[in-house]
Amino acid sequence: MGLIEVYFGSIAGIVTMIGLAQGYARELGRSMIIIVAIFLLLYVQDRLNPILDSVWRMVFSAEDVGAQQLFMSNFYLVTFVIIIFAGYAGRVITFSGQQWPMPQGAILSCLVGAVNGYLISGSLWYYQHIYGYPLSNLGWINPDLSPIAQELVRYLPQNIMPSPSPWVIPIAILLLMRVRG
Amino acid sequence: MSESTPSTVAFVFYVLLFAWVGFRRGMFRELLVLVVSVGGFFLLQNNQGLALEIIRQVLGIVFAIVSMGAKLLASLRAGSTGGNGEPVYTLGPSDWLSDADQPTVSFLVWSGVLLFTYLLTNKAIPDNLSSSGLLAAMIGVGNGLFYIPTFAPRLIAFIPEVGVTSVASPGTGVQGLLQSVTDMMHDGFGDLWVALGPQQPILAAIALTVLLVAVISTLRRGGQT
Repeated sequence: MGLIEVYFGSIAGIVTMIGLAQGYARELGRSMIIIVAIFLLLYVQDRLNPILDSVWRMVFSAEDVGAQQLFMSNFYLVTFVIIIFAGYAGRVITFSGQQWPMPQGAILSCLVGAVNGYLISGSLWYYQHIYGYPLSNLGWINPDLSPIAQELVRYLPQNIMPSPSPWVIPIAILLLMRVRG
Repeated sequence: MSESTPSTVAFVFYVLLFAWVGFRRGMFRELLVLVVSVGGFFLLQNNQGLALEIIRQVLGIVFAIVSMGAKLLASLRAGSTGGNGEPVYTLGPSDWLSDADQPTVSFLVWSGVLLFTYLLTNKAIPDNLSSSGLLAAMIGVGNGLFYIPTFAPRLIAFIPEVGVTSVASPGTGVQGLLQSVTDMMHDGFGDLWVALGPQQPILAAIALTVLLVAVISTLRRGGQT
């Protein structure tokens, strides 16, 4: 088990590389999908948690807090990953126009890929963090946060914008720009 | 108003200044400067002996030319082209630059290259290749942020001690620089971030939106990707 910041940093790095390979014109559409996913999960979280809690008690009727945290965390993780996978595998909203040639185009692709990487890996980290790192029970991650990890947790996307409302701003503006053509 | 407000305001002005410079010069020019400044700094930090050796070689050539010229002049004055075998000018580059001067030489070389890059990119890159915009301003800010930990500790000697409390030492090597950059960004943006208070989420959303809109605005018309 390595350091958790290395674990999630690697995910961000891989997404950045995908962004570089795909080009920023496509990645921008995926940024929208990721932001929508973050907004949706934040919006339903408070409403959904009591229902998930009830479902857990109904099915398992146990007081195993660790297992319950793992269930809750995995529910959001899987939902988020499904939405992101759909964004990367399927069709997304594209913005018309040609992207800049090399080297500026590659730098912008890297930049947008890095933003997507931050949003994706930051969200995955967030759903581990708020449920007490339940994946550590499976031995997948190290729950002992280093000083750097403790600092980074403050800057996870959902910790910077904990309310769903601010996430509507980029979604709305990007949609307006897409409609404008 | 907290004690950190003046430093936050100064930091904001500094960032705005470099954003304006970046906007005026355009993205491609600023990008080249960023690559040269960051790449050159790390290269010279790791190869300080190399910088010193290059300067010694250059100075050696200059000194050899001066020495030859002086000998020729002395011979001409004496009425003979052969000379008397005694060197007229014996001071070599090693007398000027000792190994202890490595950091100073590296910094001077880096500063010279940086200045040359600014001048060269201004002259050699036409305006239509270096478009202005938000991204250009952002790269300009990146350049400005990089200069703080590289220049500020060296400028501290020119500033009276009164009122100066928190300029970090330059540190050693790449790790020292990275630590300085991290500290500086934490101090600058950290104060700014705290000062924003409850507006933090909205401003973060606006910053994210501006970044994405800036990238979208670079997509050229007339094609579909």
